[in-house]
Amino acid sequence: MDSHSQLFVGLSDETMPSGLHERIMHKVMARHYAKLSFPFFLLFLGSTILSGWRVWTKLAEADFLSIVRALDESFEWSFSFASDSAATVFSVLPLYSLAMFCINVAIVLYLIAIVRHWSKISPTSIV
Amino acid sequence: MDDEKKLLHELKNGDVRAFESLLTRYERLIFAYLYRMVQNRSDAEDLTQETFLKLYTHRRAIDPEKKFHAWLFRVATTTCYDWLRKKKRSKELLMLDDPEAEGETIPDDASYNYRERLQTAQEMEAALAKLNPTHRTILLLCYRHDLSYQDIADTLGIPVNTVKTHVHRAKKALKEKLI
Repeated sequence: MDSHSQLFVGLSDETMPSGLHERIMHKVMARHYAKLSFPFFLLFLGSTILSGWRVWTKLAEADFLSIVRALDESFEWSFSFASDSAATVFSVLPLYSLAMFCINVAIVLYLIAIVRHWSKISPTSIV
Repeated sequence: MDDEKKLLHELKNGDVRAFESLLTRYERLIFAYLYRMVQNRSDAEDLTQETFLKLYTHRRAIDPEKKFHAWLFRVATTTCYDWLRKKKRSKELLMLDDPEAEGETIPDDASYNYRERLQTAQEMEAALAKLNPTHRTILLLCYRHDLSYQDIADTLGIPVNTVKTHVHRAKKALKEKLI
């Protein structure tokens, strides 16, 4: 070992920052699962767009704005008004269409939230 | 097939556990190297993260038959240099592939007697910090991490003769900082 090697051997080993290993693994897992879940994300996104389109066409067909205006004009705080309003809305917009749209939106948002959560390492991250 | 080659093959197939084994094996080494390069723990931490994320993202580019540590140091060095360029801390970085240096052969055993001065680790750290990034990289890879000239050449993407020249210049620069 020459004199230079001896000089460098004397340098101390830096202690690893706590949690660095875990943060790297979290980010790698995020990438790993983001890739695996991407087809599902696309599937649910497509389903959300289709169910959203279905809801929109139903609302447009029934002239939903005029229904809302009519309900607004006859508005009162009562159980009968609430049940009549719900019945009116569901007569033009099937419950299953609305439920399907809401479920799809929730799943897409959940998938985005999971990947964002796993990706979050530190505010100073330059990646 | 040795253990590391097996891990590298598994990593290429997307095995996250193989990645974690390699991370455990090399994270301290890479962090220590990057810390000495940037002289700041927080920045070194970010760069270590980025280095290993690049390792995972570009895992298919790994050749298990080649020296993995040299490849990893190359990723770390490139990441560090990109960061330094962004920070504009160095104007000298792009001088690594110095055409004038190529062909200039320097004897490998060129050494100085300043070991007798009994330098402390702190003095060495301070002297290293004062070196330009190229010299610091070369000395750390050569003497701290024991990479061969060929490995350093592969790591930095420059000819072996250029590495020898840089080593010689870096030793000289270090000597000046230590005196």
